Amino acid sequence: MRVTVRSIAFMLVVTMIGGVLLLSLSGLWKTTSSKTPVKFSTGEFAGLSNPADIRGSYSFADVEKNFSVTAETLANAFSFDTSSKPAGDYVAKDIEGAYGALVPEGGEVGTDSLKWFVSLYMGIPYEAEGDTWLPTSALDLLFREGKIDAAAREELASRSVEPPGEGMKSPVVITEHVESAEDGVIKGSTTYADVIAWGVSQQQIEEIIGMPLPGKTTNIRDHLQKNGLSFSTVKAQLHSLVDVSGQ
Amino acid sequence: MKRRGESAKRIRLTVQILFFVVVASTTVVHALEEMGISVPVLAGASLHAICPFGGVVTLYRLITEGAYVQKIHESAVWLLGIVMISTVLVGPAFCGWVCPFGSFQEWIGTIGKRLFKRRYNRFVPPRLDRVLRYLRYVVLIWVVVMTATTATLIFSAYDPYYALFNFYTGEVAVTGYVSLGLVMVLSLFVERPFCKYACPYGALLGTANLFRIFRLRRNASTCIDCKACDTSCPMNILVSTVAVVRDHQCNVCLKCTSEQSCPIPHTVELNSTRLEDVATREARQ
Repeated sequence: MRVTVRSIAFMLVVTMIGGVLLLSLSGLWKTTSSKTPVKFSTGEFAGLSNPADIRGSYSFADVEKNFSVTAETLANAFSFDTSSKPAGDYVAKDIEGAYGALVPEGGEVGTDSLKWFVSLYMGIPYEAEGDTWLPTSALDLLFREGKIDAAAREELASRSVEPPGEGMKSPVVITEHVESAEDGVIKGSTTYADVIAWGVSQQQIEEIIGMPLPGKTTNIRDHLQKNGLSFSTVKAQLHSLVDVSGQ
Repeated sequence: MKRRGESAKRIRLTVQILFFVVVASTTVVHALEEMGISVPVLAGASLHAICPFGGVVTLYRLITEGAYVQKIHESAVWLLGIVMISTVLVGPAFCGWVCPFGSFQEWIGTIGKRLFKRRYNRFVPPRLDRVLRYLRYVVLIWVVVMTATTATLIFSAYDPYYALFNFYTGEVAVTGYVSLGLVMVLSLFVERPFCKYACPYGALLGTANLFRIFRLRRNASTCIDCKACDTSCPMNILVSTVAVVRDHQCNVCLKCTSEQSCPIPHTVELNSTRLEDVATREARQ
């Protein structure tokens, strides 16, 4: 049986394009990641997702789904502003975009930093690339939550960079004085984190506003306005709690 | 004969342009998506997602861990399967007809042909050329082993194909631009230099020439030994010296066949049966 130019052209177009169409119709044609990282199959961590398999296309919500780290924690660690965009919507490759210009030559804050942070947070061993750095906000968070000790924090400090201040900001929670807010005075720029830092619990705030906090670093006024609540009313209630806790 | 040859050339060129446009459009749409501009057609797929070689490099990880190498998805494995069907049937026609980077080199080569006429594609000394042709197997082994051990697309930093379709995205490594530039310059002297000396996927598909069902055959009893098949072959295969082309470099472009270069009908063909047997059978009828 002879194969001609015409028949080979026909065969290639039909098999390639027809094959793809057929796969698309049957739902088998997948050109994006299923966002399910590979799991450890043996050893102490068997069954747990491997942070090394986090991809640049993973959103913080995908990471939260696969690892015991909330999107909010990730946003705090990398100082992403969650008042303008939900924490879960940030993707790993946003990190490189945000930190690209900040990191000195020889260092990089990107997807590998996210893998590294998640592994440190979960206590899973992971060898980050030699040029991978972490934001200081991530180190602070890890230290605050007892995931690393003071010695480890000091050691990692040489591979850390200050997060961008404006635009992305985020005074992460709360053990230190918050530069952006005048102590005890709730203004248009005050965040829930500020109020928590002044001694009001998250539960008390949620009782006043009648809903869960969207994120501790969310701007209070913007959040209330978005949800149709009166800023002045809530502010007065929060002030009374701040005053009580300050006494 | 000449008109038939022209028609065959046009058919192949149409197929090459079709696949080039599909791949280029897909990568442009992907780049737009990355910038936040959504396009309803061809959405979602990156160049890695529609390259069947991605299916090759991820196979080890898929079998051992049930996961894909970063940036590779199910689509690449399906494409690998689809390409394998046509490859088992007729050989690496994917290289000669579908691969947009092969077409790109070929199109640059038309400038070289105008500049150097008959000297084009004859610059590399045959002895050196013979050895260099096996370099792509070294590349294949290196890419597969490194991808399996690192679980990252190690080749994309050097891949001129990736650089060609992503040169405007800022995602191409300097080494990618260098290899693309090198291939473009070499294409002015040598036809399809990347295919010949460095393409790992071509290396893999080329092995099918040893066992493909439809083989490129020459009927020695009708051959007039004009060597038209030899001079037309972009891969410098000496078709006139063999009854069946088993050379691992044949890309099934069919330029050597009686449909195009060979002046004698039914003397060089892609056929599942020996051409002498076909001629005898036809004579009996």
